[in-house]
Amino acid sequence: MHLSIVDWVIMVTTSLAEAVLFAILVIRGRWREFPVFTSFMGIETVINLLFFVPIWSGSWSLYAWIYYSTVLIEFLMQLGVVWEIARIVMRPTGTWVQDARKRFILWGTAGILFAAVVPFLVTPPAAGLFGRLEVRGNLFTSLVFCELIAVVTRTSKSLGLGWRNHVMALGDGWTAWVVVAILVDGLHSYSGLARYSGDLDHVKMFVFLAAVVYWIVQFWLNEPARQPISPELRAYIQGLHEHIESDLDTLDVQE
Amino acid sequence: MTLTHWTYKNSIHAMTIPLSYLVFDALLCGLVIAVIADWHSSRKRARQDWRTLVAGLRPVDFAGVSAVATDYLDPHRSQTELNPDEIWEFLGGYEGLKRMRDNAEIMLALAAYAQRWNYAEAVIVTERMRHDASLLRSSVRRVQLGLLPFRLFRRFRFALPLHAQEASSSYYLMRQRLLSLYETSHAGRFPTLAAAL
Repeated sequence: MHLSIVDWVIMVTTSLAEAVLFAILVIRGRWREFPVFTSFMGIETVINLLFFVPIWSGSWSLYAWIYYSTVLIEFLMQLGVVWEIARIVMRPTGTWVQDARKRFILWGTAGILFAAVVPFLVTPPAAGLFGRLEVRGNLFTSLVFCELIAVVTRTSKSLGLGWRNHVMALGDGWTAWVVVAILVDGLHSYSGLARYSGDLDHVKMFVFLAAVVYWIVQFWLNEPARQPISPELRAYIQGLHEHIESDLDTLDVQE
Repeated sequence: MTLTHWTYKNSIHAMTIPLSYLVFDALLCGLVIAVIADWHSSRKRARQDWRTLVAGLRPVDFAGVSAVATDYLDPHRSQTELNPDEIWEFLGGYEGLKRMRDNAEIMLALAAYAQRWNYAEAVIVTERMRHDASLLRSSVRRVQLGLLPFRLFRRFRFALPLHAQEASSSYYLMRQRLLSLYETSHAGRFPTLAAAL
């Protein structure tokens, strides 16, 4: 099992950076607002450590086994991170802004269906069904995350929702990474996983590493203090949302 | 046939790209451009200060909007005084509705901005305005559907004046709520905002 110098550098620095970020999220108490993102970084730290075992022992089959058995966990965790961004941005007062959750779920579902169709428009020159599925699966994943973050950005803008520093930093890093991931996975659909694979993946990994470093800095810094929402105000807003929802339901029935 | 084939063959015939590949490229590029554009415009809005936000408001003939909105919100004896053509004209046609929709986004940002000076009231007013903005957007969407020359959307065409009037009443309420909020929270900025709206 051969790894190039670049592979080593990326692997070690990303592992270290993710571990540092996880520690910062825990020590600085950011996990309270970002429990899914913190868990994601914790799981990534453990997975990174696991990968060093087959690399040292030279067992390619063990490496592949760890890789494929953690793919689903990583996908679900990343889905959870996008949900967390949506939840924080679209619940500025503790209750979902009217329309926001419905829009996110509706457009998110449409985006997932779109992402399921697009990879089948091209046939990647990969060896065998499994190889083609892998390329398409990677592209599907990137498309899903890209569309979901786009839905959050667009919805928040049209609803006049502000992004506070930490969630904005998470969104910025995430957007940069998924945009590059889409381009890389789109190119893989043409080249397959064999040709240019290493170079393309290095680009994707470097951008993720840059995003993690950016998050380390941003999550270390404190946000400007936010005025607390009194229980009375929260109850009032909740009542207002319920009232509006019930009004809208009545209007829908009348139509 | 894939794009990689023609690089091997160097043949003009093999350079023909199948339609699905073009669709694939167009969708991916379109999505990436849309995501970057959305992200850029969202961050730009977040960085804008109060004056830049106010400068972004587009002129709307408020006298016309007010006439149409009060006819809807405050019914009086002769409720059919305004005919559909007049409603359309008062609101400045489709362009006027688009301006109201764009201004609504900025008004929401201005209401959120006021949370710096009068948190509790501004939070509540912003939530109410979001509801108005949602109705405004939905009414403008229905007007857009009504303007399409398809039989499928005929029902929207018949109700076009009603939707235009709903849009104007939502805009009217948003404007009133925002001005009242500024009148109580930041009287210094109130005149500038009132002049812009």
